[in-house]
This record gives sequence, C-alpha cells and structure tokens, in this order.
Amino acid sequence: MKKKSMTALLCAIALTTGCLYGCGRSDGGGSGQTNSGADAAEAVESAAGEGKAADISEHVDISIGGINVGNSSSSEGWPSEVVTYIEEKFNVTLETKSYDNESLNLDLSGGTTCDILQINDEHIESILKGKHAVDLSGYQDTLAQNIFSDTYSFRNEVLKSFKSNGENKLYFVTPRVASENARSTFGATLNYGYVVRWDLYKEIGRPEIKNDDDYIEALKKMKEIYPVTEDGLPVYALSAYNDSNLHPYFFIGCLTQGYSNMESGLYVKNMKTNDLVPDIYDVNLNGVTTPFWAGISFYNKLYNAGLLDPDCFITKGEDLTEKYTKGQYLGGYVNWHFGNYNKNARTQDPETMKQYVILPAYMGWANERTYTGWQGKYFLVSSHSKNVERAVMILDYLQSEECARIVDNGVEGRWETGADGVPALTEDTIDMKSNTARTEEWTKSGIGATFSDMVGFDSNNIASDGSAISLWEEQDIMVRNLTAAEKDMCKEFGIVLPSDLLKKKIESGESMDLSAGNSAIQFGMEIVPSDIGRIDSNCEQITINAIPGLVQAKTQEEFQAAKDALMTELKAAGAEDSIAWWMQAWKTSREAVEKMK
Amino acid sequence: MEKKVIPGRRKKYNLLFMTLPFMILVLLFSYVPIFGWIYSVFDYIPGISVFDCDFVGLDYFRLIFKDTNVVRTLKNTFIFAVIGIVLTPLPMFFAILLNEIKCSPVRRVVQTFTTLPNFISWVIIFSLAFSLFATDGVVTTLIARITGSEVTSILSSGESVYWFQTALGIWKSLGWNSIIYLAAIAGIDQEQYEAARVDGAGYFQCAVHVTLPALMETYVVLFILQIGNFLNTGYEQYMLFKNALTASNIEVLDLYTYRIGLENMDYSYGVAISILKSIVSISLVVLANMVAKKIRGNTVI
Repeated sequence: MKKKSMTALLCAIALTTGCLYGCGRSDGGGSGQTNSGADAAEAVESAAGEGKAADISEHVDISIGGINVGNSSSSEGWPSEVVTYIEEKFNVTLETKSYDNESLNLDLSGGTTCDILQINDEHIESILKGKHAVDLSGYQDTLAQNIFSDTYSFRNEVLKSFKSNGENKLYFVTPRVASENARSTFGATLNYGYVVRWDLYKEIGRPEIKNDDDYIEALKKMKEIYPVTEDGLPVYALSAYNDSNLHPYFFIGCLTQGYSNMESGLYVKNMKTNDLVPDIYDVNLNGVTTPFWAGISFYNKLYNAGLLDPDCFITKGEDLTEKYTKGQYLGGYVNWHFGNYNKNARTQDPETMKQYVILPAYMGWANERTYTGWQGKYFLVSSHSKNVERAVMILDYLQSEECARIVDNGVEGRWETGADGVPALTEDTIDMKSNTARTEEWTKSGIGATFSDMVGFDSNNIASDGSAISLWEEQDIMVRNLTAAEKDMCKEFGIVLPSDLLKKKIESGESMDLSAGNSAIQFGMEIVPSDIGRIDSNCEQITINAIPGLVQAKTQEEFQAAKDALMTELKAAGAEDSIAWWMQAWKTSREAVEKMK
Repeated sequence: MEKKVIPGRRKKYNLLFMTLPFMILVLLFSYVPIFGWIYSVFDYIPGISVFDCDFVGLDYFRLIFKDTNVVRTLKNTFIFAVIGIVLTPLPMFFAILLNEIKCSPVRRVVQTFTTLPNFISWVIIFSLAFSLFATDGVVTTLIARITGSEVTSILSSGESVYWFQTALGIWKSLGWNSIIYLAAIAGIDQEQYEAARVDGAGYFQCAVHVTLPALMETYVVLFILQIGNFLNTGYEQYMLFKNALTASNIEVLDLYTYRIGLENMDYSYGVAISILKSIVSISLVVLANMVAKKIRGNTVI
C-alpha cells in the first residue's frame, strides 16, 4: 500500500513539475532579460554618456528583427558574402527574425526583443512610452557617426522632432534616405502600371494605352485571341484579391490619378500638390475623382465587359499568384503578382515572348525623393539588448555609404575600382545575375538581399567616389539584363529600356513621377487616436462590404445608388469626424515640416 | 491511542492528489488569464505596463452598447449557435446508424473516414472548398453542366453562409463527435436487446426503444455543455471563408473580437467584448443547469 502511495506521489510530482516547466517562459535564444524597458534604457544611456570606445574583442550574437524582415534560419544562402563580411568586421554572428504585430507586441511586453528592431508607425507609441529604444544621440561622437552624418541631417531633425515623444532625441533611423545629389532614374523596367502579356499585346497591334478605357479595350482584344490557356483553363483580364482589403481598388487608381496612399487607402496624398484627400468619402471634393473611385469604376467596367475573374471577391493572394503562374490573367497593375509565370516561360524557352511586361500609367512609381527615408520602417537599438554598443555599431554601419554599396553590389571583388577611380561591376557579377545556371551563386553573394531594405543610403545617391551607390543602374548593364521579350518591346517602340516609355511621357507632360511628393509630412503626423482609429477601421470594413455591389452594378443608376448607400453608411459611422481629424493633423504636420526645410 | 485511518478515505485523498497536475493546468490556462480582464479598464498599449496606461474605467463597456457591429456579430453568432444546437442530435443518430452496420471492417472504414476530417485544419478545408466550389471548381462546373446555366459560386453567396458553414462544420466533426455515443452504445446491457428481440422488436425498434433512451443521458449532458459554449463559435473557419460578399453574415463575435483585438491592436476593447461574452456564456450554463434540474431532478454541474 505504502509503495502504491509513493508511486502516486512521485507521479503527481513529476506531472506537476512537467506542467510548470512547460509553462515557464522560454528564453528562446533571446536576451532573456526581464528588467523593464525603462531601467534598461537608463542603464544604456548612462553607459553611452561615458563615451566608451569601440571594443569588438569579444564575439557576440546580434539579432535583427522586424516586420517583413525574413528569418535567417530559413533564408537560402545564409550567411551570404555580405553577411559574412559584416560579421567579420564586427566580430559578431548575425541572425534575422521575422515579426508580425502580435509577436512583436509579445516580445515588447516581455522585454525579449531582438537587438536591432524594425517597427512601423503602429508601434512608435509603445516603443517610446515603454522606453524600449536606445537614445542614439548619446553615441553621436563615438559609435554612431554615420547615423549623424550630413546625409541624414534633415531626416534626423524630423525624427527628433516628431518621433521622440517631445524629448528631441534620436531613437530611430530610416532606410534608403535620398541625398540632395541623388540622381533621377526610372530603372530598367517599371514595377507598376498597365500590365500586358507582351506576345498577345503585340499580336493585337500594340495599341496605345493612355487611360483605363484604352486598357480595357486592349484586354478585350487580347482575350478574344486567347480565351483559354494552353491547358484549357479560362482566361480573364485580372482579379482583385480579398485578403488585401482595399489595396486592389485604390492602388490602380493611385497610378491613374497621381496619388499615393496612406492609412489603408482611406486617405491619399496628391503627389503634385502634397494635399491630403479623403479617398472614399468624397462628398465634399467638388467632383474630384479619387483613386478609390477611379479603381472601382475600372473594375465595374471590367465586370460589365465580362473580363473580370468571377471569383474576384473570394480570391486570396496565393490564388491570384497561382492563376498568374498558370497564365490565366492577361493584365494587372503590379509586377509582384506574376508568380513564376515569366520565370517558367523563360526556363522553357529563353527567347520566349510570352512574358508579362508593364506599360506606363499616368503616374510612374519612380524618382521619389525620400529625404526622410522610407516611411513605416523605423530601425532602433533595443534597450533590452545585452550588447547595446555592438548593436549601435551594426546599425551605424548599415547607415554607412560603404554598407549600402556592398549590399547593392556585393562585397569588393564583385565590383572593382578602375584606374580612373570609377567603380564598376565585374563581368562575372553581371553574368551571374542573368545566368540561370548560377542562381545559387547569386543568392550566396547576398546582392540586393536581406539588408537591401535596411541600409541608410538610397541606391541612387551619389557616393564619395562620384558614382551612384548602385552600380547596376548604368544603362549598358540594364540593357544587357533585359529579357528577350523586353528587348523586343524596346525594338518595337524604338527605345533603349522599357522604362523609357514612362520617361518620354513625363517629358511630354502626359505622365508624372513621384519627384514632387514630400514624404516628410507623413513623419510629422500625430499618432492616430484610438477613437479615430476605430472609426477608420469600421469605415474600411463598411467599404469592403460595399465593393461587390459597386463593381457588379449593371447600370450607372445602380452604381450611383450603391455609392449613395455607402456614403450614408460611412457618414453614420463617423467618417466626417475622421476626415476632420486627419485634415487638421495633416495641416499641422505640413506647416511644421515646411518650416524645417 | 493510535489514530485509526479509514482506508477508503485515504484512497480518495490519493486520487484527489493525482488530479493536482490537471488542476494546475486548469488554473494556469483557465483562471490565470482572467487577470487579463484588467486590460478592459485601461487604455492598454503593448509594451507598457498596464498600470502605466491610462485608466478608462467602464468606457469600453459603454462603447459595446454603442457599437452596431456588436449587435450584428452577436446576431450572426446566435444564428450559427442555434443551427448548431438544432443539429446536435446528428452525431447521436450517426452513431446509432454506424452501430447498425454489422460488417465490422465496413464499420471501421466508415468510422475512420468520418473521423479523419476532424484532424484537417480549416486552412486545408478552405483550399479544398475553393477547389470544389469556386466558379471554375469541380462541383460548380458539374452543377453548371447538369443545369445548363451559369452557376454562382456558393463561396460568394452571402445568403447561404449560415447553412454552408454549418454543413462544413458538421462534415468535419460528425465522426469525431459520434465517438462518445459509440462508447455509450458499447456500454448498453446486451440483455436489453435480447429482451426486446424476444418481444418481437426489429433493428429499428431496438434502436428507438433501447439504444436511443440509453443515449439520452449522455446527450443531455453534452447538450448542456454545448449551451455553455453557445457563443464560443471560434473564428478560424469564419476568418478563412470571410470575403466581401459574406462578411456581413459570417462575422461572429469571436471573429470580431479577433479583428478588434489583434488586427486593429485595440486590445482593451477586444477584452471588454470577451468579458461580455463570458458573462453571457456563464449565465446560459447556469440557466441550462437550472432547466435540467427542473426536468431531470438532478443537475449536471
């Protein structure tokens, strides 16, 4: 009996211990610190004040995590040549970690974030109030001299003024900051615009596309000659996808009307005047066609012409990509939807004309002067880091001209400086990019990979050696890297690069680029209060629910009735309160930013 | 004087002691999270101690009563729950039918095939449904060919949401939910069947007069527990099948809470809605328990 009792007791203890151990907090390879952000931040600031010299004698691990940052553990070719170079330079082992909003919030609450973090606007408040970021100003004369270089003076001023909780300290840095000397470039091909299948577009006589109506006409003709794929699958002009909320509708409108989007597309910025415009609730806009309504009208016309995918409202992003890969769509508006169609077609026949190419819409997404860097990507050194100084050094290096050069072009040896002092890519590197047999080698080089969205210098900035940071955008290299279809396209249009179509249109005043936009205004915006955020979220959902009625309207009267019903619903949901707040916040920010300039 | 130990009582203490790990699990995962309710009275921002956040009192609870989405999602939840409750006898009937299959290998195959869907994630089920019911899906194409007319995908039908989603849910869980009834059937005294057969009862009469009454006890317990879960419809299924055409009807309270709390990062308001849901659920369990006591003379809880 006693033996039985002992066994029962032991079993119970073992199970209890197991449960408690399982429920305990796992360090997960993180810093494992539990001290509050405030304490850690104070300790770090104190250390920075002492002006310690750079000491890299001890090997440490540095993690870089953020939203849209990939996981190094699943990254092909990790560590790449670029990563290894940085690791050796700073005596560290680097790893990257992908966060989404929930996991980032969890790590922030537990104080177990990566050493270097990349956050978006939604987390600024919690980072600042929770004191999760290290004040970089303390390292201005020691470890962070690149961050405080002249290239970033305006960016730093904006961030100190608007993203420091009124403390006038620098907690964040942004990537891809354009300098005053940044050159204008349109790249080799366009990323956004009117997508067409080049072989079919050529077959219908490549009619000029100046607006949505011309585009729909071209799509109609292409569908007539190509109603089903070679596998017998039905072909459509294009489709929206419902896991990206309003994006499919307002984004194409942004391209045709000359706006860029903000706050899920509820508000848009006129890229000529920098005015903020409510995109959906257009009651007081005196007949201005906003991107959302231009986009909805476009989809409505496609629907009535029988060109829209009937599964438009149930399609998710991966379904869309799959259909593109199978060649079921004839058009589109962005290049990242194509899936593997172009690649697969070229693998079968390198000289194939069956390729998606992009023709310019009214606004070309090029030449943006990002003097404050990319918005919505803020890098910081976590106050929870065990190795704050090394993290500051790495972040500072990411902001250096040298780092941008190696990230865009590969480590030295992949490019060389000639006797005239001009740097140029080696023949081997140029070949490696376009040679499909050397894909693995290209991945291993790390060119344009992981750190591409992290470096401080814009790729068009002119470096101290007089050349642009990215050596890829030399015309002869861009021409060499064109596909057979793109080369054919250039031949047909009598141009050198596909992007020349946009360039010519801008020169003739038919199109515009992003050069007049002032991205700093967004940085100066106050944090959206929770009640306004709630209204915006509700308005977004109401609009999403109304879209099928608008797109599937058979007549103009039906469309107008659906629009009126939506307006009434938005008004009842508080859209006018939201607009009042946004307009005021925009005005305040714009005035403050323009004073700084 | 030596203290006398009553053997039965000691044995009971031992058994009670054995439940300790499970009690701890319940405490950790069911009671400790109740601490999170405190977020509903603060304007919580992740990464900041809740006590450093602004105290808002019952503001978020007042907001619930102004939020028209709560009413809409509550209505959807009730509809799904009522349909679910109406169909609660299905696993029991399925178990009875399965029990009537006398060929053991066939019965096992049927049971395995009906139980398996329970282990398939909703993501996979959505992909399957998309392949079958999209406009160019297998089923839709087949129906279009048979009827000779254009057929709209059921996935984009707002009107069919309640029945279609319930049907998917039943397809997924029918086999699994019938296991408990199969166990109950196995426990029925075979003499009852023999006696019924002696009285001239056939298969159907045996099922109606012996099996069904024997299963009612189990059914009532599960029914009351189901009422306790009245508002716990979950959100994975509805999140995956939600699109612009079905959004108004498919958004249940759990999905709305997910959208508010995690997608919009409005944690405090999300918690307030969850508290309301818990209060309603507890009230329903208490009510069902009282009704059970009135009808059966004893309570379940």
